[in-house]
Amino acid sequence: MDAEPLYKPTLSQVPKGRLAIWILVAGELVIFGGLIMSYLLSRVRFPEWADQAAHTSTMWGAINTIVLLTSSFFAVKAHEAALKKNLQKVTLFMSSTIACGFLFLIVKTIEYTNEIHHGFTLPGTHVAETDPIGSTFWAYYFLMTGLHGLHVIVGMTILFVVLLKARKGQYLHRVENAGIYWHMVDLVWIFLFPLLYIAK
Amino acid sequence: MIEILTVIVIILAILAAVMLVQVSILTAKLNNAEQVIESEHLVFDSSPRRSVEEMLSHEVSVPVEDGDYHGHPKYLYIFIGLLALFGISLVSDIIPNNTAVILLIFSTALIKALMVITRFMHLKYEPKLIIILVLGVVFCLAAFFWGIYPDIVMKTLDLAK
Repeated sequence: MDAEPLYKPTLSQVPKGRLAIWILVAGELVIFGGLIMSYLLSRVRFPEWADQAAHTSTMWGAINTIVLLTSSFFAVKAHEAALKKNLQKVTLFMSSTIACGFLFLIVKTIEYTNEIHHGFTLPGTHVAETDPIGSTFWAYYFLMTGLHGLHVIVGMTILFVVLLKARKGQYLHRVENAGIYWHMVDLVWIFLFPLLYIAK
Repeated sequence: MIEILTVIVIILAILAAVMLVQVSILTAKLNNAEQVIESEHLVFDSSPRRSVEEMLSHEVSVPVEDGDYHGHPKYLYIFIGLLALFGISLVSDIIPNNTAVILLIFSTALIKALMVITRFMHLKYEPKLIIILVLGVVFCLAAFFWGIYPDIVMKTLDLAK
């Protein structure tokens, strides 16, 4: 499954764009990691959150997981095509990645609509009055998935901007950098899905 | 309070150790570089003057933006593996033991994350310092979790106050 690296670079041999994206990814992991750790601590502290977690839709969450995993596959195939200077495939795979991002947001919108219709909203509403501890679950839920959704939008914008030049054969190295950011978005969802949708 | 202080001291000690190692590596590299410069200088002095074209054609170690130094695994196999692990986590409900289910769900999530970060993001082909950067984040998160765990989980909370 693995392929041998061409050579092991030193830090000074890493292209500066790629180095910068790794520093950005590390920062993003701190933000999401901190949120996830806080959620985990609260989840252990308040076992009654399991009743609230039972209301999240595993089906929509699962669909979104498949969509994001597929988009990551397209992103890495776009990078492979960029190295071969196959502009047609670069355009196809990057467009497919962006389309997957749109699909993710559409599914998320449907999911949010269902939850809000059932009264599962941020604290301060009628749910908060009857169940103050339980409603905090929904505060975490909307914060984590909302922030993640925001990153999906940012990732799609980055991919689109890179695509505009890459389809003409310009700045092809940026396809991988944009891809690394997109994989980070996927990585965060890999942890959000079991935390919010499966562990009930 | 004591737990937090202990964690902070451990973090500082590890950071100091990492910095010491880095300083020693850099010092060794500088010594090597000095020796190389000295030897090249001697050769340069004894050799005839080079033209500008010759000097420009000399190979130098400069990062190339579109340089591809990492290998390319079979991405399709990794994608199928990710979907298979996802499938396992979805059907984990059939196990009667709740603790086993939780362990299975999070171990599959961890394996999936490792597959994405090492193969799709190519972290395994990057220099050690970038790997240390990412591992440092994970370490800090773990320290954060265990540092405040006693204050959040082990103390009673009175919402009325």
